[in-house]
Amino acid sequence: MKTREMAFGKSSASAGSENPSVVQGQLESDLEANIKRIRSELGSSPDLIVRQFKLRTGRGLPVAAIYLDTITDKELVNDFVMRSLMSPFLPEVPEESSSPEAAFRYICDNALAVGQIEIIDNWTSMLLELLTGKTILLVNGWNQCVCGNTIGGETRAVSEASTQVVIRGPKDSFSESIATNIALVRRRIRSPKFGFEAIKIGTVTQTSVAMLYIDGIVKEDIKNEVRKRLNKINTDAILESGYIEEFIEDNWNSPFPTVFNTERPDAIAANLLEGRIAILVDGTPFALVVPTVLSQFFTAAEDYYQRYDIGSFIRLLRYMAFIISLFGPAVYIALTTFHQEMLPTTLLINLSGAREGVPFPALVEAFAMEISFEILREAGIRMPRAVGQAVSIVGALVLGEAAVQAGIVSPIMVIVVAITAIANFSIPAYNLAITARMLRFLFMIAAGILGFYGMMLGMIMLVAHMNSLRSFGVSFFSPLVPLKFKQMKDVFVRLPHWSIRERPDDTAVDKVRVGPGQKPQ
Amino acid sequence: MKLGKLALLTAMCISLLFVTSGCWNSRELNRLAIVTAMSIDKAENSNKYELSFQVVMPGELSSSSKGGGNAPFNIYSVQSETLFEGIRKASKQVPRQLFFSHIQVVVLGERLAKAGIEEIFDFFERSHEVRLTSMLLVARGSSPTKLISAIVPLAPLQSEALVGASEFSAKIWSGSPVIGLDDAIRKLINPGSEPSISGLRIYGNEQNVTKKQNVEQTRPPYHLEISGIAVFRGGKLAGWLDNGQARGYMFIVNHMRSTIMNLDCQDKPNGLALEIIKSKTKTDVSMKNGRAKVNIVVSAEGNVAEVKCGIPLDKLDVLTKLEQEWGYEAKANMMAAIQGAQKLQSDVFCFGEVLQRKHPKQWKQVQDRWDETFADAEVSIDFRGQILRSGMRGKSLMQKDG
Repeated sequence: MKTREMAFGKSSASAGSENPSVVQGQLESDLEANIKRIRSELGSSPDLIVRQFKLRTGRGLPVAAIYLDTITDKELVNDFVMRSLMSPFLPEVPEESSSPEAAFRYICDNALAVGQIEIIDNWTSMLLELLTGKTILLVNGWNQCVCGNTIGGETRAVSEASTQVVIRGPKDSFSESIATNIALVRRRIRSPKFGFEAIKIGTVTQTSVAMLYIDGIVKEDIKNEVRKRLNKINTDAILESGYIEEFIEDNWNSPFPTVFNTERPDAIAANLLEGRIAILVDGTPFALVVPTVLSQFFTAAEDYYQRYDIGSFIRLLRYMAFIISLFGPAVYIALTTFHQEMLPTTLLINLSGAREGVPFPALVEAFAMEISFEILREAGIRMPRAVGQAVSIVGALVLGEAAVQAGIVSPIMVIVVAITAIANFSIPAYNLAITARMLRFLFMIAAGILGFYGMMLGMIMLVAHMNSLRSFGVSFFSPLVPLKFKQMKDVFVRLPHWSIRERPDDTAVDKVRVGPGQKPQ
Repeated sequence: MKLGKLALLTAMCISLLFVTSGCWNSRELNRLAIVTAMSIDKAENSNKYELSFQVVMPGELSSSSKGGGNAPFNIYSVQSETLFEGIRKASKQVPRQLFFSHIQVVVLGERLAKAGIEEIFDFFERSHEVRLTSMLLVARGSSPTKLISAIVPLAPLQSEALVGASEFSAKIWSGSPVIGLDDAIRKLINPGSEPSISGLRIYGNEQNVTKKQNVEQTRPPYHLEISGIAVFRGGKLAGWLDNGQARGYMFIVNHMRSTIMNLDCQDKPNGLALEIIKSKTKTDVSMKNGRAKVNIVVSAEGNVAEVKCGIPLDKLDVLTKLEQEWGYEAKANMMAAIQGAQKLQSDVFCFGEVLQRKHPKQWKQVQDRWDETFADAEVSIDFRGQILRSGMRGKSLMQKDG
C-alpha cells in the first residue's frame, strides 16, 4: 500500500470544516463530561453503546469504549477491543507511568488488537469516526481518544452483476460497501502502482468517495482535474454516484452521458489499465469512470473474454442497434409520409394496405405507440415482480393485438416499435440507451415535418453537438475525432489482444500494453 | 442568462428549419392512389392522348387486411392534349392523390407507336414524379388499356405480372429484351441506334378481361404474352421481329442468357433440344469502300437437354456435327433478324454506336445517312458453339447399338 494513500474514515481536512452541523472544539480530559457530550450530540441514540470499565492495570483507571451498535462489527469489538483490554494476561503497567497519559499510550501500543488505529483530539473527527462505525476509546484524565477500525454492520454480499450480465467472464459485481468494492478491484490489479485517494463528500452524509487510478499510466493533469472537481463539490448529501456524476460532468445540458458507470470490477480494472480514473462511492455498486469516450458505451466486458471475432461482430451489432433505436420510427415516418418512391412497390402496397383505415397520420401513430411502449417499459421496471407479469400481458395484448384489431394503429407500426425497443435493449449502457430513447422522439418530429431532409438536419446537429462534447479534456468521439487510425483497434471492432499493442493515447501516459512478437505462430 | 441564450439559439435553429425549402409534400399513405402501370395511346379520331392508369387497391392486396373481395386494381382513363394535363385531369376521378413514382410498366399503344413515340419521353424525363426505370412495352393487336386492365392469375399486382413475364422471358427464353424508359430514350437520342421494345399481346377471348371471376377458374379465357420485338425507325413503329428473328436479335445484342433451340436428330426434324446456357457476342463495325462491314463473333455454350432419337451422344464426331448444325441454325436466326431490320432501315442492334465508338472518324462520314448505310451493310457472323454436357443420362434409351 502506498504511503500517500489514506485510510477510510480519516476525514479530509476540507470536509466538514464549514459545516455548521458538525461540532467544534477539543476533547476534554474528563471522561464523564466527554460521554455526556457524545450522548447529547447524538441525541441519545439507542444504538450508541458506551461501555465503561476500569483498566485492570494502571490502578483501575476509568476507561470507556464507545461505538454505534448498528454499524460496527460487534465480534471485532468484543474480541479485539474489550477482550484485549480486559485480559488478565495484560502485562502490568510500570508504576511510574500510571498517569492517564501513560495509560493511554500503553493502550495504543500494547493493548489494542485492532489493525488500524488513530489518535484524535477534536470533536469533529471523533464524531465522524464514531459515525462511520469505529470504536472510540476514552481514558479518564486525558484529552485524546483512540479509535479503532471496527467498521461492520449489515452490507450486501458480493453477488452477480444484475445490470451488466456476461455469459463468459467474472460473475462478481460491486456491492454497496466501498471497502469491499476497492478490495474487488485491488484483487485484480496487484501492482504497487495501484493507488487511490479517499475523500468525504456531503456535509451531512459524509460519504466516502474514492478515486482509483494506476500511477504511471494515468495522466497527471487528468488526475489533478478529477481531484479538483471532486474537492469542489459542496452539497449536503451524496447518496449515489449519480450525484457525483452531475457535479463533475463537463456538459450538463447534453443528452449524452460523458461519465461512464459500471458495476463490474473487471470493467473498472480494464478502464484503470487504459489510464482512466474510477470514482467509487460508498453506498452504491455503481462506480464512475472518467474520461469517457463514446465507444465505451458500446463495449461490454464480454467483448474481451470471448474470441475477438465474436467480440467484434457483437460490437458492430450494438452500433447498429443504437442507430436503429435512434432512427427506426423516424425512418418509418419519413418513408411513409414523404419518400414513398424509395420503397419497393410490393412493400409500399403492403404498408399502404396496412394503413388503410388508420385514422391518424403516421407521426401521431408512431408517437402514440412509442409513448405507450415507454410507459409499458417504465411500468415493467417499477412494478413489484408479482404484478409485472400482468403488465406485460396487458401490454402485449393491448399494444400488439387489440390496437391493431381496433384499427387505431397499423401492424407495421407495431413491428417498428418492437424492433426499436429490442434494438434499444441491446445497447449495453443503460444511460446511453435512454439517450437514444429520448432523441428518438426529436428525430420522429424532424422526420414528420421534413422527412429525410429533416432527419438529416437533425443528424448534422447531433453530430456537431457530439463533436463538441469533452470529458475531462478528451474528445467524446476520440479516436474518431481527431482521427487516429492506430487507436481504432478497439473501437468498432476488437482486434486480438496481441495486436492492440497500445493503450489509448488520450488517457494513458505509458502506452505499451503488449510486448512485441506476441502474435501466435 | 445562459439558459435563455440557449433557448433562443434552439428557437432560431428550429425556425430556420421552416424557412429552408425542403420536400414539404408530406403525403399520408392512405391518401395516395398508387399507380403501378400506365398506358398511353392516341385517341382514335383525334390527336389527343388516351391515358389509362392502373391504380392498386391496397386493401385488397395487402396480406394484413382481409379485403372485401373486390378487384385488386382499378383503371382510370382520361383523354388529354398533353401527358401532364392528363395526369392532373385524372385526379377528378380518383378520390386520392395519384402517385406515379411506382409505375412499373408503361404500355404504349400501337397507334401511338406508329405516330411516333419521341414526344412522350420529354414528360418522363422532365417530371420528378415518374421514374425512368419503368419497363416499356408495346401493345400488339389490342388497346393498351385493355392490356393493363386484364386480371391475371399468380400476380395480384398485374404490373408485377407483366414485369415478371418480361424478365423471365428474357432470362430463360431470351425472346425479347427488357427495355426501360431510359434505354429507349438513350437509343432515341443516339443517331447510331434505334429503340426496340418488346411487344405485349393478349391471346384468347378478350371480351371480359376486367372481370375478377376470370381468375376464379383454372383456365382463364385469355392470357397475356410477351410477343416479338417492335422495331422503330425515327421514333415510329416500323415493324416487328418475331420468333427466330427475335432470338437472332437477342444473340446479336448480347442479351442472350438462355434459350432452347431445336435441331434435327438423325432423321427426325427438330428432334433434339439444345439448351443454351451461355453466350457472348462481340461486334465490330467498320467502313470499307463506303460500305459498312459488320463482324459478329458469338461464342456460346450449350447442353443437350432432350433427344427423340437414338443418337450416340458419347461420340465426338456426333457432337461436332451437332455443334455445326447449331451454328447454322443460330446464324440463320441472326441473319434473319438483320435482314428484317435492314429492310426496315432501323438499326436496332446499335451497330452505329459500335462504329462511333471504334472508328469515330469513319462514323462522322456516314453519320447523316446511317440508316441507308445500315440497310446496305455487309454482315458476317462467326458462331462458335460448344456442347458441354448432355444431361443426367448418358446413352439415349432409344439408342439400339452397343
